[in-house]
Amino acid sequence: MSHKAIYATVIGVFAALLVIMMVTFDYSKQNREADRKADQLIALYEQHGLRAPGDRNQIARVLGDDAAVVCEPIGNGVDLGTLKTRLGVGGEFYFRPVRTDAQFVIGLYAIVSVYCPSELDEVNDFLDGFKFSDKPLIDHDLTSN
Amino acid sequence: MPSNRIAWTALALMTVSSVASLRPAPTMAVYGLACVFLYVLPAIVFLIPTALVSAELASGWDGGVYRWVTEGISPNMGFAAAWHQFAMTIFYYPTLLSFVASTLAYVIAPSLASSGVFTAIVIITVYWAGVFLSMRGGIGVIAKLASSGVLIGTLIPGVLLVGLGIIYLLQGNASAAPMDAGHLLPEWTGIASIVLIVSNFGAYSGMEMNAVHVNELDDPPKQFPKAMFLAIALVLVILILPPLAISWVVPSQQISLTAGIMQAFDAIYAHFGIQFLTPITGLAIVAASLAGFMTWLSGPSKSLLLVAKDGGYLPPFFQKTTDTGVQANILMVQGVVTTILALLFALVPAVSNAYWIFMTITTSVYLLVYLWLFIAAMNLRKNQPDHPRGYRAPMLPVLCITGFVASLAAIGISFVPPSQFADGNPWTFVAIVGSGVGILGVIIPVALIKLRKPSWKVEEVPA
Repeated sequence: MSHKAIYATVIGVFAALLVIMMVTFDYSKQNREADRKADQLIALYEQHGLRAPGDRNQIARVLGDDAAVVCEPIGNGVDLGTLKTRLGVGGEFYFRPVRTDAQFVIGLYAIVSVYCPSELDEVNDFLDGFKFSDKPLIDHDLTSN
Repeated sequence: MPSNRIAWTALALMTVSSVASLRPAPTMAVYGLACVFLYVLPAIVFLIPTALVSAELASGWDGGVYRWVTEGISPNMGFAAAWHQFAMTIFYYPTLLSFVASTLAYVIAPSLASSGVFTAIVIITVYWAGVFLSMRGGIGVIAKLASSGVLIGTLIPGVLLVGLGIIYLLQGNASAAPMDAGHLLPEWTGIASIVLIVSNFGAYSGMEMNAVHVNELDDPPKQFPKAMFLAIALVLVILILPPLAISWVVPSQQISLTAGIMQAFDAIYAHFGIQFLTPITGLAIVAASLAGFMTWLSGPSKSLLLVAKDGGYLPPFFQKTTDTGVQANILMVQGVVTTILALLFALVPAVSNAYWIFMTITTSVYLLVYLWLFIAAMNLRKNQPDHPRGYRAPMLPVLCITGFVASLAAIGISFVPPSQFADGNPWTFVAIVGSGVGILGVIIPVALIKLRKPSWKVEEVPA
């Protein structure tokens, strides 16, 4: 295989991936239910004196009505396992777990609480595997919000 | 330029792809302004010593770390250094390539991310495609692909991220994280703060790794130092500015760090109404990850090949190369081990859940390389002062002592249990990490040295 053929193959694979990614990405996640969930998430943050990660439109456009980008991967455990390797400090190659506090997982907990509470047990099991240097900023009883 | 040569700028970008990316940015953004301190201090005590000392050594000796340690300490320690570099990479690939899988799933269909099978398929497909490319293309092709990847997937999105962050502030929006002088340092919480700061000393690990390709430069004594200086500047910019920009726009602890950099980009794009860029950015970030992967695939394994050939440290089977000089059998065997690890990582939750322990052990083993590197540099300056060098690092003893102490401190702090070690006895953690470092860093290389046979030293065994 010549070098030109290698470059052509790599470019071809990336071009195909680009088309697939541009076609399949959901550009219109915002709907009435997404707005309602976004309001709920903002209220949850504000109730605890935290700044929401955006306004209603912004959150609805990113998370939609199901926050699938957060909720879907929880089930298989790989993403949570990977998160364990990435809760720390470092660069790309070298990354070390450190003693941290619960603020790193607020987003995960809050989003799951609002969008996919059925996954909360999984997340709680995951969080139980940590010893944070302070008490969790969002308590478990907030799931009723 | 012949296809097996590397331009010094490509080598600089390969070094950047080995050390820095946008992947850690959302996590580091949680520290807000203090992330600047968390990266600048290690730059002073670790990055600058490592880069300048490596620049001097590469400008005088070819072959990279193994050769420097061989010349400066002993051939056996040279082999140990090559092994310490190589061992880390095996455990690194599953986490890096699972990030590729989750980035693809984020854009294409989030439901894919719920499948461990999808993750396993992506890891294994990409890994073996990388091996195929390395074997067919040689280092010249890898250098071009890797440097293009870091440009497309790290530098351009990084500039975009920082640019959007600045525009956000110029629009009159308040920064999500406080940016006043009172937040320059991480909040002091005792031992946790020491662990936080010292653990990050090794953040720039890998700066020296591409020195193994120094012979592929046209004028190594002059070009390698230039490549290192460019890489230092880019690595600092890439690691410091993007987390800062994220912390201006998004309180990143309030997004889910499982979706990390993609969700951060998506949130910023949603603010500006330019979410059409999300899939393009996703692909760019995949390209950057693959650039880093290809660079790591071609570096430490070549180092192991060179030391195996020079000293006959591995059986002739592992010394076989392709006609482009690529370490074919080392890559194949490494591939089998990586495939098994990847399957366990993606399909067995207990393995992915405990993987952070492997990473803690292997980063400590990798840091051992720096201990040998700084000792070797001191010895070489003392014992071979007249050996021609294209570059002489200023205040070499100070650099070596500083880098050595920083590396030793980062190794030592890895024995302190992090938050991930919830309820266990701290001494159990010390025993786990100590055993891991002992087995991977001491017992295996010593056993390989003891098992070595004189017949393993062969001149050339083409595939």
